[in-house]
Amino acid sequence: MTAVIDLPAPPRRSRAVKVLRWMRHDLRAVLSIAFLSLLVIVSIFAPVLAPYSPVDQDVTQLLLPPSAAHWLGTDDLGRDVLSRLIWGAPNSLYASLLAVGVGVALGVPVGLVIGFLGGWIDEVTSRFIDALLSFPPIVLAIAVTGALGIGLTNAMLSVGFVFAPVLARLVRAQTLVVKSALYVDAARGFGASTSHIIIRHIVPNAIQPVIVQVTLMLAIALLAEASLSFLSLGVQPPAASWGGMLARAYNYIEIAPEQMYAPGLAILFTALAFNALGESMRVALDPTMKRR
Amino acid sequence: MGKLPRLIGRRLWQLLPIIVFATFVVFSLLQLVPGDPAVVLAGDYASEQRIAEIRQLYGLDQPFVVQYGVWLLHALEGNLGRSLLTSQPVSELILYRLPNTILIAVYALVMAGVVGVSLGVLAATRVGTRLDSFITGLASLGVALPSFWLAMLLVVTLSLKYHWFPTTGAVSITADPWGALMHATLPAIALAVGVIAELARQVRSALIEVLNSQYIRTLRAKGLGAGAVLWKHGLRNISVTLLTLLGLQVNRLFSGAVVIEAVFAIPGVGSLVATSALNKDFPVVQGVVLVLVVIVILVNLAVDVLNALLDPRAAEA
Amino acid sequence: MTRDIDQVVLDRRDVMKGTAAAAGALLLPGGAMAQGTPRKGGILRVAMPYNPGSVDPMTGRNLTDFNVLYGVFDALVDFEPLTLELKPGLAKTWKFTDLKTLVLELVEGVKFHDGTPFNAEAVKFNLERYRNDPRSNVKSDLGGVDKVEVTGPNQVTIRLNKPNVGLPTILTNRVGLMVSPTSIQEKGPNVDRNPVGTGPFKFVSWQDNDSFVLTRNENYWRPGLPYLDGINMRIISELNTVARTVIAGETDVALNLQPQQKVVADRSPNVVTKVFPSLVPYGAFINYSRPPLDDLRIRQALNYAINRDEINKVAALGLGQVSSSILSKALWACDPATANYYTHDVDKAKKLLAEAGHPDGIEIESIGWPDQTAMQRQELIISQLAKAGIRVKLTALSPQQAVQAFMIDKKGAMFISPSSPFADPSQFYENLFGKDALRNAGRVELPGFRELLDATMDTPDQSVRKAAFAKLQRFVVENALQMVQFIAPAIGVMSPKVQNYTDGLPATPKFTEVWLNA
Repeated sequence: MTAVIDLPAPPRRSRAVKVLRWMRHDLRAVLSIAFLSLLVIVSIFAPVLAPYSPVDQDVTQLLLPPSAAHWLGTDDLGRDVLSRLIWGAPNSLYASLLAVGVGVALGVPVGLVIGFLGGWIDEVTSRFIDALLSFPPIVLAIAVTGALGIGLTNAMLSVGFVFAPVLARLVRAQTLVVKSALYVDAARGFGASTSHIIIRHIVPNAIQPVIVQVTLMLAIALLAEASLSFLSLGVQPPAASWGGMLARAYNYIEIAPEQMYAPGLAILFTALAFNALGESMRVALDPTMKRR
Repeated sequence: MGKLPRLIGRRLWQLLPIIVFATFVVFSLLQLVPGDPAVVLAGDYASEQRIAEIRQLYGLDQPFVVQYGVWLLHALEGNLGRSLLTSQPVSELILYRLPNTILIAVYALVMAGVVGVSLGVLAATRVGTRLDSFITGLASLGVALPSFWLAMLLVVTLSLKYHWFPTTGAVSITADPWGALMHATLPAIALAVGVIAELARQVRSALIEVLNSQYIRTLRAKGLGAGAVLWKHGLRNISVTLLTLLGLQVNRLFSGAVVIEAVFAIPGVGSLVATSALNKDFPVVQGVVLVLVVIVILVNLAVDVLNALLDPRAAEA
Repeated sequence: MTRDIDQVVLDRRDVMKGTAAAAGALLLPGGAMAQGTPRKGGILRVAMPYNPGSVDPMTGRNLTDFNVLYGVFDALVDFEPLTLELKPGLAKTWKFTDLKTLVLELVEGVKFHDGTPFNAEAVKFNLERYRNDPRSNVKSDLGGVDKVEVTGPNQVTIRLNKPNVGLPTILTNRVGLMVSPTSIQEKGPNVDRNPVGTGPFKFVSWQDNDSFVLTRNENYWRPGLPYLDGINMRIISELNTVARTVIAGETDVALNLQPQQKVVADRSPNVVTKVFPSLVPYGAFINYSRPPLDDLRIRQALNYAINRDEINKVAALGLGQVSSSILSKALWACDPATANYYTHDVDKAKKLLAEAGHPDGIEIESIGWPDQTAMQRQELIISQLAKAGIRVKLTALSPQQAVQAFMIDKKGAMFISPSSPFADPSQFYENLFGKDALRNAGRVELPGFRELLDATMDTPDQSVRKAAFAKLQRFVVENALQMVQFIAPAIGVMSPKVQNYTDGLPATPKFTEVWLNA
């Protein structure tokens, strides 16, 4: 091992290429990316793709089964289910991305800072994080949504608050591992500044498990949106959301049980896609791991 | 074994600050919720004057920190106060409803433990086969399935269509044990599926790793049968991970219970906390959060202790 | 469009099977059921979606508390469920000796469940408690009462400082319920959970949000009553589940159901569904003290733009009573002439908006409830109003938060919500449009309102009051102080074994004369 003046940064670019190359061969990854891309396209082109407006009501056509005019039937206000499903896609994507975004924005910096600084700041904050993590997540989400007000954005903000401590803990653990690695000591020895160390060494190494976790959290956020809408804390009318559609369908499980299939399947497939993507990224990022 | 009391001591020592933090967070959040329990207490007869009177009567106009302090002091004495809305003592309320939630949670945990571990073991011992792919696929599905959607499906098919199970709420287990179990089965299944999937996956990967390890390969080379390897060494080695996993799932089960209780109209603490939070019935919410946090921490403690007993190295952690 | 007062939906299979339901439950007009002699015995199993808030009439606050209140307590004045005609209760007669003095003659020999006697002293104790106790929610019902005097062992004289001809009607409600004074003195001020009354049933136990148990009062003062041995009530928060328990035979009667549950119940041959009129108006509270809804034309535009028939059809399955007025046509004080004043006329709505200076439409902020059933109704209304150019921005809040936001913090121009019924018709108007009423978010009384309301209280003569109410109703309706959609139906689902059950207009079920067929 030759002595170096400036330690090389971990080879980010070539790692990214390695990941992509792996994923190209992983059927699961391909399928999930394809599905998610389709979802994004549907979200962007919803106005064009949807056969009807998602808010057009027709009280003479309530709760109809699928037909030529309405491929997935109509809901309890006579609205076309397929159109609402299509328009629900951007809301669902928005919901997942918002929750995860908030979680990352709050949790990752906190984790980095306390992991790096250690000491009493770490002790106290970790206690606080433990406290947040010891309550059932949905209780926290209900309380925060209650505080902020009912609505999709607020519900997802509250889910983000629930994600933040998980991410903070994860990032902290990674930071501790990296911090103690020899090369960081070496960098310090060479006079590199704290921020340089954080940005060029700690972050890239700490971030890997976070990327995987984040992808998996997209699925969890989607399911959380559905749960919160089911408890009538989520989306506001007349916007369409898959969770909201499921919540409405619950009222009709005896009269029209088929109302719950379309939104349920949409949520299921999207969550599956996020999960599959996350799993294959996990493998891709560390092929030496024989997990899966 | 001197490590064990120290471990227990350390956990219990952590308990108090966590409880204080958790209840303080909830209390603060409830303060932020716009809306006023005084309005609820006044109900149909509300008038601005009446609401102001009520606020004063119940001490709701005291500063926030004072209200929390009063609650905490009483809680430490074992008095969780009374529900603002129904005047029922909170401890009575929780004692009555908690068993319903615990019944479902334990039922789900047992179901998940048995099925999840079996599937995981099965997949690990048949790595690469179609069975393995099938189980892995099922696990992926289980993790992505919205539990309350599954609950709705179960209600529609097994309950409404085939009448195998009742749809109504819950029945007290002391009054009618068989009835209680029948009522709890569908909710437990809905709760368990996500946990089964998670356990199957984790057990599978942990077991694969162990079975491929140098140690095991040596044993096999020495001629030890596959069965003995699996039981005596494979599972023994993953038992620590397994217990930790089960412990982690408890929190998740309580969380899932909130929505499941809503679908099945079960009078448990999950539905209690959901309605109380929205009504700003803070003594009830605080009380429930306190109890749930204590349960989760105690479960984690039990897991740590069992782990230490099973594998002394874990006690060092 | 009124519906007939009694409607029983019998499944055809019932008739063919010749069950007791078909043979027995033929309803005669007026609600009297003739199906053989009442049989004593049996425990009625009831399922209901609401937990009582408190069983002390003084601190209770929700209409649904009455699911249990009339079981344990009797009121001074009783009423006929479907007509609201007053009948003797614990007071066998009542008379206004002059407009400010009401004399009550009490029934003799009645005892509370704890054995203590019911007498004039007890009545005085109760009325004063309702009026003066700091925890009393119902003071306003006795506003205007100056003194309560015991003028004989079984005679009470109430002296008012201003005429209140509605007082006897008010005494059918909370402030007329008689609680044992001894129980209050013994158990301390908090008898929220320990009701001791004179009613047909005695309180046994109450597990919040789970069960409420009553047992027969063997010493009930009305001879031969009650028929039931007891009542076991189960509290199940979800309406469909409540209905299902009756269908599955796990309970005998379901209370507080909505029309949606009737659809499910109708499919089952095991149950009988009944539709009763109620007094609950589904409408929207309006803040008419400030723009935009301080403009009469815009308020009227709202009323013309909605399609009440459609709302009734979707939200109440057509079982409600379409109305422009807060009073149900079943109530004597309602004037049919203006009850359906507003028709569905989108063009007129647009014209009115244009006249008010909004030819391109207007945005209105509204508050609503978040549950799915309310959402359905709200989405329908929003869509209807949009067709007239009225764009509604809805904020959903839990019912208590909504009350706080709209009625106290004065947010929003409109609050889509049902409102609670009151005992006397004048109370409807006072509590919705009076200057100090909580529900009148603007806290403003339109000029002319007070005089018209006072005119309904001038004399106990009902025909005079009726004419005065007609004028008041016209005023309120023409000024579009509310956006009423329909008066809700009350839905009862029960096993065919249950006899003599009537919910009645105030939605306060009474089990005194209910009996169970074998």
